[in-house]
Amino acid sequence: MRSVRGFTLGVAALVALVPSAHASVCQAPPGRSAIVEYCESVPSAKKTAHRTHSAVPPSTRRALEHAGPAGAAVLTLASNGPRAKRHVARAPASPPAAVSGLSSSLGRVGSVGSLLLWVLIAVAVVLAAAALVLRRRRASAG
Amino acid sequence: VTVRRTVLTVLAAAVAALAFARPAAALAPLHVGYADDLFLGADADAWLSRAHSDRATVVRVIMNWAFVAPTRPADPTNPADPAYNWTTWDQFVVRAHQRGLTPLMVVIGAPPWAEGPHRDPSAATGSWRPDAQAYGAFATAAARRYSGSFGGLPRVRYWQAWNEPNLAYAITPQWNGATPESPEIYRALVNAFYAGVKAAVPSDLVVAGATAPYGCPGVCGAIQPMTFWRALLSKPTYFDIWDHHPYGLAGGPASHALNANDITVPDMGKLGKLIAAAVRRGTARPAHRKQAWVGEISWDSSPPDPRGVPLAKQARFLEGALYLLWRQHVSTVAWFQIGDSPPNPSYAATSQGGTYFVDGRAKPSDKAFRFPFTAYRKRAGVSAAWGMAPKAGTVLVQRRTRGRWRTIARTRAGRSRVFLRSVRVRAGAVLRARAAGRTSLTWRVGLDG
Repeated sequence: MRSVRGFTLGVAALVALVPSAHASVCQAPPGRSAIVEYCESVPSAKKTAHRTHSAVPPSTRRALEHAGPAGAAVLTLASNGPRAKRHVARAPASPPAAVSGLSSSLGRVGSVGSLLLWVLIAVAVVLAAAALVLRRRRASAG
Repeated sequence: VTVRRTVLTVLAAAVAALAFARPAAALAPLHVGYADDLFLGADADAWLSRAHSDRATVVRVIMNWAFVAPTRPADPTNPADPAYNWTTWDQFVVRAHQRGLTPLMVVIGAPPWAEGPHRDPSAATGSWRPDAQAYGAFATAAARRYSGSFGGLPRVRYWQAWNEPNLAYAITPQWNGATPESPEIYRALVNAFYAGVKAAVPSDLVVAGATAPYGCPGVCGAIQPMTFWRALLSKPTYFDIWDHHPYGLAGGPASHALNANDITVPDMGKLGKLIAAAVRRGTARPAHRKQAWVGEISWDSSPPDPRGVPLAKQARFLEGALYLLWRQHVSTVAWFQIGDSPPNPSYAATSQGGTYFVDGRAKPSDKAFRFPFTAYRKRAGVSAAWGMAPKAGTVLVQRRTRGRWRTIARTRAGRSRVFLRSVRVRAGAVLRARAAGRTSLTWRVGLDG
């Protein structure tokens, strides 16, 4: 049980780190994320709070909410972690080549980070559910 | 007195009849077409035939200046100068003409001999401070060749000066410190191009801008289109038609750009106002009303691009974009592209926005292109049923009720094929149009606005 909880917290910590890589400086038209020229810069988080989307979709959010303390920890970290800070600190002011390189590298990291994020969240949910089941079985056995 | 009264009454009745008859006839036309260099390739005949059967009118292709003129011509305004190689475009113009399609030539890409001094080695090929005088001379040669009176070649009437000049792949440098520089470079290019085309054929029309939709709010490799146009039109600039490429994000054609200086579909009117103001001010020349065109727009579809929008949504976005652009007085829209690009090097780096898959199979968006139909809500309970019928004639607007289609309105499409009719329907109603024995795709009211 302790090892399961420890692993879950480890996953949660990783999830907290992933959003910083996941945060992107722009939004691309669907299917054209590698074409940096057609990427629209996302305005500052303060100005466009209504446009920013949570890193956790509603279905996953619901699953995490019902996954006990570990799920809540994952949800908190995924929703309010470094991602929000990243939005404030990404005003582009570099010369063309540097920004172009930065944008494309962030785009690549973003797509990999996105996949990793969902895998980690899924693992966390499964582990949290397993922990709950184990706890209930032990409680009923005791 | 009686005779006078009778005449006045008859006149009043005639005026009233004209006023009532006007709406169907007065609807502005929308010319639709495709922007795709498949029209220049090995299968050009097949793709041009598909465009024709789709009822496209405009076919937009790139004419690469560096390809036509790899070495400096001795007589640059002479289309027969031996330095020029026009073969690809000669074939295209003939094939387009055979099918009754209207070509739009986009002249871009400076040859090495026409780029400016002190070239930045990182600048994109053909983008570095192109020589405006040489560009103007090339425009004269091209317009003369396709004037309709040279070597039996058909005429090309529409000429576009460069493409997406607010992006660094097209023009460098974009900035000089914190000051936009590409508008200055582009103004010299478009003015020389305009003079060059008009010197050859005064009735040819020059398209300017063709700006990309997004830029950075600060200094980077892309200038936001509103910023670009403001800087461009701060001094006299010559063109007949303005063009912009309002590629949208996942939200679809009704979604505004996130930034005030970026332009997506519903923001086109804002750019139109800026240009109209420049005409009044005397910096957008000559002083006549400028046509608004969209030379490129599309959304990638899934399949084949795993990150694209579903096929049905792509079709709906196409129809929505056409209506919303028409409503903002855009007169020509070229969809980018007719056929998907192969995923080389990746789907993310290429366009799968075609109305056909790479193997020539039609997508649902092809049906949407042939017979677009939308019903955006005007106000509670009333929608504007808009579309482009296959041909002029009666159009039925139908609603699906308990699995059966019932006609709820009848209207008429004029020669332009465009029709518009208010219909009383609630959100969620499923509509379609029928005309000339064909049916449009269905449209669910209120899904996108």
